[in-house]
Amino acid sequence: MNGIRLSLQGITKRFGAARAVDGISLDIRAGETFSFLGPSGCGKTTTLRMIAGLDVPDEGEILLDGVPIVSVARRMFTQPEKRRMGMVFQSYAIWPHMTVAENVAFPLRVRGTSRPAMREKVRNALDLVGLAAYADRPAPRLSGGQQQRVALARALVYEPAVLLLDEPMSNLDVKLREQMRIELKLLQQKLGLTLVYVTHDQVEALSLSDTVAVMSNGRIEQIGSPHDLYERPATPFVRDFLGKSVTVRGRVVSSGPDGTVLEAMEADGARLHCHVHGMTVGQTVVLSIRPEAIAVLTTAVPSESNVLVGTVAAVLYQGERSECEIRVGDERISAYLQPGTTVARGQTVTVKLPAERISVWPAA
Amino acid sequence: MPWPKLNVQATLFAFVFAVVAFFVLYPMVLLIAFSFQAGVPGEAFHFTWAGWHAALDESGMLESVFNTGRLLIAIQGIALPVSIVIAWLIARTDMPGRNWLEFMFWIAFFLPALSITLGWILCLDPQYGVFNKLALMLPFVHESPFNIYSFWGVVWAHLGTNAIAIKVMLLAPAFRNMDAALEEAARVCGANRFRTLLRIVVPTMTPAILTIVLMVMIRSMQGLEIELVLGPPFDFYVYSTKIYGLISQEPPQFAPASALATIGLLAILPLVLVQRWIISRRQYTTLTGKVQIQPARLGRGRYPAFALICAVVVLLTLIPLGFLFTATFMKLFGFFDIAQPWTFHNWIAVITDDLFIRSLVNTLLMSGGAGILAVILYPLIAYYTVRSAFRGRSVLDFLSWIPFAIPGVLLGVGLLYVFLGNPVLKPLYGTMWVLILATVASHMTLGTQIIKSNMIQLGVELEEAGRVAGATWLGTYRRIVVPIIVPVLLVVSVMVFVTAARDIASVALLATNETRTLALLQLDYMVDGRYEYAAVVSVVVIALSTGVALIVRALGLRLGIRA
Repeated sequence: MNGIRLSLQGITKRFGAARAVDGISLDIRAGETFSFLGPSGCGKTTTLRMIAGLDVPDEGEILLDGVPIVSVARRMFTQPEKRRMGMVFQSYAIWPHMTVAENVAFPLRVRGTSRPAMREKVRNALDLVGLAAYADRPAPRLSGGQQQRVALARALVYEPAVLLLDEPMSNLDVKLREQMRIELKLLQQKLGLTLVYVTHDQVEALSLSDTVAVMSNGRIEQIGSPHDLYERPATPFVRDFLGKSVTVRGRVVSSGPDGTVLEAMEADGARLHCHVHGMTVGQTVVLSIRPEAIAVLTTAVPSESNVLVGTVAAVLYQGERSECEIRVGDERISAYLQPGTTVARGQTVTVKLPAERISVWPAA
Repeated sequence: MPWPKLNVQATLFAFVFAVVAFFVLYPMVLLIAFSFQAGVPGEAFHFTWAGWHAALDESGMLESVFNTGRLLIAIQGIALPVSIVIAWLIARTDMPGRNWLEFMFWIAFFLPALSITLGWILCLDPQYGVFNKLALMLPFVHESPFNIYSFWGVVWAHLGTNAIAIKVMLLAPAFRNMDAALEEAARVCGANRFRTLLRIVVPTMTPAILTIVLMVMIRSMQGLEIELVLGPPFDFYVYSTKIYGLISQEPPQFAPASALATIGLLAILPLVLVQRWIISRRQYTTLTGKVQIQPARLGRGRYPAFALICAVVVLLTLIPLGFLFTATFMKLFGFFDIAQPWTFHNWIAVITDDLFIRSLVNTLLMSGGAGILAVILYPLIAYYTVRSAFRGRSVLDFLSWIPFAIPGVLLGVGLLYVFLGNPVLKPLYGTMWVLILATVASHMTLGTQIIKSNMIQLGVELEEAGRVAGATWLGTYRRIVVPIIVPVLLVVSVMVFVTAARDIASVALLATNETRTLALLQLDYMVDGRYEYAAVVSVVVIALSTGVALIVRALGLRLGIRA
């Protein structure tokens, strides 16, 4: 059972009148990858910087392995250099006046490590990130991906308790990003690191993390595993931020033990079942379903439930699959085509919305 | 970080603040106080407005202020665009010989203004100037076409001594550090090189350029040596020579001079505030650790550009130097037609003089000491004003501007009051320490500004990475900030050394016979009318400055960012 490595309690940070971070409380377990996910300005980087000690909270406490490293109430503040954390900055912050090896050796030098031990640790760190051959290269002569690896090696060389990463992939091209994601995951598993990750890229957050905290306007919208967040979003923000959603306006027609029947008001009044309870008849709601749950059928399916008929408005080829936009009445429904299925613009198709995949939300 | 309150950074800041306040603010306070003093400094204090009345009634005051403004516009109007183009050519294009040319601009900056002016007098004096004599030999020329004792002569002397060289020296490193991607983006959009320079490079470099422009504007009120020599023959006075005139009268008019200085201080105030406002407005980080040095290609313009800049360099250096050197071997300065005009006598007489040797040693001590102290103090000041969150930093920034605003003469007077009036410091009067401290104080502004405009470009994350990696604030400052700015520190150190070696204004009142420097010796010779001896001392000072510059340059090339 993993213990709690990092704990944030009631952390608030104000810039002037605005609250950049508003009362955040959460626990991060040892050995897990925890991501802060959200749009620009949601407070995720500020939170990370407070964990690192580069910003000071106005309220709250942060504890590392149960020991407070900053506590506003008790006027305690541990300087960043004493916190034993590693950090990879968005710009990598590789020092231009040093070589790769000197960059990586710096944390050891300031800790007074002996020369032989230093050499060995630096070599191991560079091996971990695959840059052993670049040890003597001057820092300015590195590509973006190489700089990122140096930053990683430098953060790991002193075996920190926690590794903090501030949007480390945002300056890399797509292919490199995919590659680094896998390498980072493998590295984390190998070393048993606790990773705290900040990103606005949901694919990154979902694929790398054990736990994700979705943030917006300084607050946490939802914390959970990637699967939970994706399949069972708790708020419309989370629902819309993660993945795509197809939304359809509806009105409750009847409700029973199996679920509720809704009328899709702008989709030619078609009837849809869902397995959600607790609504009143006549209530206006929003139905939401992931596009990948929708099946697109080119042949008419007689008398099946949760089936809508519409025309294809556009088809977008995406390589591994095609996305198509289907017009049903006044609603527009995005769905994916099975590989091998082709449809033409203007073609009449049937879309099937499985009842168990529909979630219902209050009408905004 | 608000707490803990007592830490290395806060203590160091307090110390730096105290030192700067004492050697910069305190003399000014004394100066303002003495503008109201009825008697001479050192006597008991009697309040009076007489000094202010005398200052404002002084004849030609308005005209001298007007002249200062006219000069400023004429000089900067030419120098700024020229320097920007030269700095860009040197730092960001593939112009041939650009490293060598940049070095020549370094040399040009180091040449003492007084000496170079002397050289140009030899060329452009209406009666015996060589260029005029040559022109008169042409059949259609009946009058001396050149006259250095004129408004444009003064402008020419400024352009030839300081105005262009200093800007090139300051702009080139800043241009070099700029992220090439910004320029390349413009080129890809279709802008040609010149357009890119105008619309992308210049605006991005705006804080660096503005800092320099503001500096130079303020500096223009100071210009003493050139106007002192060239002005009187055609009754041309500027603000600083007016003040100098008041002090060098018999008896010296300290109170009116102090009053005028106070007015000058007030005039500077808005400029400093403007500069602070500019820097606070936007993010201008252009050096984040990702340094790209990719020169723009000039194509067919390469050699014409080289030739043009070469011509500029020759005008700035070789011509005046050549004539100066010639003068050292002449019996009579400027007279080529007498029998046996050439001689070694000047050299022998000057160098074997005890006075000369003592002055040389003094100069080395003063300049060397100041150069070392400067690169310890100035980066700290720059750091605290640019980087830290301390509440006193705007005040510190303002304090660091003061020495620039005050004509050197008056800073010297103020410091004289400080040393003589303080029982702890009084024993230092008459030693080299007075001169060293005065030099460090009076060159604070330029040095700090140069370091600041480089520090602004240093990304904060470079330091934060150091903190998170385990270094204390002091450790990060020592191992990351300082090594990255070492090239700039070397520039500043050499600048302080060289400007100290030729400084006259701030040290004239503080030096005794024992502590006299070479620059003062040169001035003494000129005042006595012994131009040939003055030329010899000039050449020695120039050789000294150039030698130091060469050594430091050789060292500097091996430190700093390796690319």
